[in-house]
Amino acid sequence: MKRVEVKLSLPVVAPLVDLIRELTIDLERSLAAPQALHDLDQDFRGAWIGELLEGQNGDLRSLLSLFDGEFFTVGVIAFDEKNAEPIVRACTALRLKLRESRLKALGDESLETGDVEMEGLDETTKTAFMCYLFLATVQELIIQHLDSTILGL
Amino acid sequence: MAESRSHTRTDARAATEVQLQDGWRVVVLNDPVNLMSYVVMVFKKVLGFAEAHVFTLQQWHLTAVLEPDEAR
Repeated sequence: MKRVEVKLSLPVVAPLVDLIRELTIDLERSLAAPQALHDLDQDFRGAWIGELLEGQNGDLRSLLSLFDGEFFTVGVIAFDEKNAEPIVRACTALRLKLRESRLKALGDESLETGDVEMEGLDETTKTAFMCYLFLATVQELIIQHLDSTILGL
Repeated sequence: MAESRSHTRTDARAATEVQLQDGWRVVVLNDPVNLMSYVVMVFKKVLGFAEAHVFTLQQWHLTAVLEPDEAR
């Protein structure tokens, strides 16, 4: 089984993990990307959204399991073909939530280009934006190294 | 005396027309958050490529080509 291990700086990542935990609680009952399902009847829509929510929560649990007790002693996270797919999805859910809840002031263009003056940001927004970039980096790593495994090609 | 009769004739005709239901399109909206590499990976995973279907058919020795769908 292909496995990618990444050594992270604990002082840098620890505050981001705290934020990820907060966002995960926010996402327990709502979808990161609310879906327009007007053409579905109410029961079907409820079941559809329920399934999406269940999947989202499972993905977020997979991501959080990277940052367990062992992580805070060795600072290493590992991806493999079992956890890669849910983690990639969880990163997107969290990034969408960050955009909606903590990074509104930055504007979509800055988020898309990543062109943001960090010095001008308050601490809360700075942490949120660093978390946004960190999650993108995790996605890039997985897609770059485990893409064919995830796709089963 | 002349006899008159009235006749009522019912002529019922029914016709059934079979129509194909209109096709559905899946629309994925652009957003500033998702990375291009992520979107490409999801599309590949979820939708696959027509080329892949053609290739598989050819592996089974059927003649298959990829051409534009002019019905749409």
